[in-house]
Amino acid sequence: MSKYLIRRILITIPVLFGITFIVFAMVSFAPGSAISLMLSNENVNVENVDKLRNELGFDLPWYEQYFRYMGKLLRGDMGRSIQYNRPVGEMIREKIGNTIILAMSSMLVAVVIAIPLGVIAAAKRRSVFDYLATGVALVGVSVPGFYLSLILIIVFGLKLGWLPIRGLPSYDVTFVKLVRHLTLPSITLGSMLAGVLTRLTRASVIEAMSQDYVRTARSKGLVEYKVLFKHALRNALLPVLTTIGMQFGSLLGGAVIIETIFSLPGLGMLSMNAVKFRDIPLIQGTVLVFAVSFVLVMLVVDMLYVLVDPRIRYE
Amino acid sequence: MRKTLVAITLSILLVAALGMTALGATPIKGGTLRVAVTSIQQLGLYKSASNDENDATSLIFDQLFVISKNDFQPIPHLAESWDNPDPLTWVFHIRKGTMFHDDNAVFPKGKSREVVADDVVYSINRMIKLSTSFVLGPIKSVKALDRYTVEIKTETPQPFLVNDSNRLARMSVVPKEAIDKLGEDGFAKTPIGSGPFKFKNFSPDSGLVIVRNDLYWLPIYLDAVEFVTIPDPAVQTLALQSGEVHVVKHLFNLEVAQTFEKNKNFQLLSRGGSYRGLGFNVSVAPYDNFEVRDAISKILDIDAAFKAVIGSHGERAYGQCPPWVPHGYDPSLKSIWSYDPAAGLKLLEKNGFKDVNNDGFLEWNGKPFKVEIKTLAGSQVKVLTIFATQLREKGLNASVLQQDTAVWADDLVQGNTGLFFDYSFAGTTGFHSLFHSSMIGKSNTHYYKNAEVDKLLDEALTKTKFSELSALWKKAQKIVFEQRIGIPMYFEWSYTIASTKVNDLVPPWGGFNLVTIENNVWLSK
Repeated sequence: MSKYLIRRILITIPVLFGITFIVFAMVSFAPGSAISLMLSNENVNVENVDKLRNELGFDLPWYEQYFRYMGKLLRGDMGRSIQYNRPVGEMIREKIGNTIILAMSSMLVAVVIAIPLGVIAAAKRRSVFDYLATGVALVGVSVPGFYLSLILIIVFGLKLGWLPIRGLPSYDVTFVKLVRHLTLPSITLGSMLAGVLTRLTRASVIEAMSQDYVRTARSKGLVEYKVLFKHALRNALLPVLTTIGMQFGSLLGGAVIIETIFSLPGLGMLSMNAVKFRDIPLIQGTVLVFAVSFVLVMLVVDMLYVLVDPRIRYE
Repeated sequence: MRKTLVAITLSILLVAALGMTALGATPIKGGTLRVAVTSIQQLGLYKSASNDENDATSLIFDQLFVISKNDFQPIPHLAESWDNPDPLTWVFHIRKGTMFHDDNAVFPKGKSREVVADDVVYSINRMIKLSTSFVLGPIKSVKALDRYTVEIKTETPQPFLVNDSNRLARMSVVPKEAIDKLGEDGFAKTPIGSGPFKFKNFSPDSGLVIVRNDLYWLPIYLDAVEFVTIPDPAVQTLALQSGEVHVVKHLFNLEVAQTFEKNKNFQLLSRGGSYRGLGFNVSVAPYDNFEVRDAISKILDIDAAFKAVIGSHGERAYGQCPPWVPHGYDPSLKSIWSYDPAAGLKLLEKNGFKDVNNDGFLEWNGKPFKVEIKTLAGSQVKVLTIFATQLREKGLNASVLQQDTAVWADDLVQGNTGLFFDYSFAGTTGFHSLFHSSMIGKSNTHYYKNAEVDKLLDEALTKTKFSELSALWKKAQKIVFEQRIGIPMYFEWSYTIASTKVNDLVPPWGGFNLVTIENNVWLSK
């Protein structure tokens, strides 16, 4: 197991190097630049902007800038944000917690909705409930996040006034306040994943129910809910678990839009601002953190397989 | 008897009404003003041109003077008065007894100290050293003449030093010992100033809370101000309607303005705005040709587009200088513009524009020719779309390309343009920024170079009498627009929308002035 872990971590290193290179090249060749934005400001202090350009090495060829960046990164320095002149690492540390909270709460929303819905839909195949669950899943997958978020804000924030329309309270944060603020963004972000998981759980459970071990369990006289939850669901969860891991990436991607709409100060909002300003160190930093998170989650999913299916061994 | 009763009843009603009115107008102490902001990442001074960050810091720190709500002229603030004994010297007299905030890491509660001339000297030098967003101009020396008097010597006369909302008006007075103790980064996180509000709580991009500074030299009605981060403009207005915030500022959105002006629960406040026009990159053909530029200006029916899109939310512009700056506004420039499509087409034909392949569009010297108007998002997109339609109707294959701000700015600065949306916040030196040759490759994205215009502007910048400065400025402006380097469209008002519970609010201009000698914001119950 430990050998497997080490191998997985070692494989991750070139992947991350590749990501930094691709992102750096993409941002460097993309049109627009932070310096031009500063210079086009009518009150610009040209002398200080030129000084900043030299400090940031913007007058160097892009590959030299990349090597300079990587040199710093390997020493644990993610550079300074051009826009805010603050250390990128510090800015990311401030925000990462909020994105993790959003991603986890969205995941919770998705799992709590999707697993029971999918299992019951499978158990009551071709019933009204099954069609209803399929409809809910279809809506979850089809409605774009930005649209759903505005609908939820207008209905629950503006018309009914039940929930705050901002993602996080500014100060005096309590658990109740946090839950109230996170409800709408979590539902929005979790709904798409819920749709996918509902369909997948339904299909997996249906397949598991036709397996020999389920027939054996039934023939032993076990009650149906035990057959369903203890035997069928446990085996059906394996592909669901993989999908949850894979979808974590889309949750992080979705966070960019949802955090911006719900004013939730996380990595998504930070990267959105960074892209708008062509703040290369900040874009690099946030993308790198997203990539590392994704790789780590996939690693955790691999570990969880062992718990779900004891037959799996990493040797 | 009956008449007497009626008279008494009416009198009682009148007294009651007056009493109610008076009661309503009496400021009440207390309450937290919640202001929507797009983003506040840090509170370091002069690091970014972000309106939100600068508005927030303008309440934590005091400035020497603020810009009046009435005539855009400086009025005393931390400086009680100032003199300009000669064109190169400015002397500021600092208000006595103003104190830095206490109850913080540097000044314990009750142990703050007075703001003195040395603090102002230190703060001006710090601004010169650090600022990327604002420029003071060539300063020769800054020194304290005594405990409460500061003298600034400039290399050349600086008429805009105090008249421009983005120069000395942006200078925030800071205590040196706080920066020494906390460091630049630390000070940007927990700033200490002498402004009407003290720092309480800040989380980047989440919110900033500042509370009343009880040591302030003016009474303050508000208990606190909370800056609430809401990046999406649509959600900002929803938050205003739901009561989550009281104020949305710096709004250039016609649809939202039109919605709120009809709603009696909100007040639509305007103060200044921005210049919006069309610019030509005169370094590329065929826009290097005056007659082509003139032809395009003649084909465009700007009045019709202005009325259809902007209406009462702006003023038709004929030059770049807006009515709210003390110089250069010249409505007489209207006479140099004319809507005459037939004459425009003749000029185009004369300069090699002809539909040789009968596709309905004019070719230039036999080759296909496209007019691509580069712009960023805003009300101008609708106006420019009308222009593109007008040009297409006359045979010019025109289209509007809406770009991301960073791409648009880069294209303009690099000169990758022909015809582009041109704007400035129309401050005092906007015209200089857009058309002086020293700004080529920066804010002069027309790539326009005219020695006569440069000379006029350079000379104007040595005049401290605004009547003299204005005459030179107008002369330069006339040359630029007679040469059709740009086509002025309109000045668009900038709006601040506030709940009617907010009283005495003045929209931000060079700072967010909630407590000044002119206004003092308070919240109705």
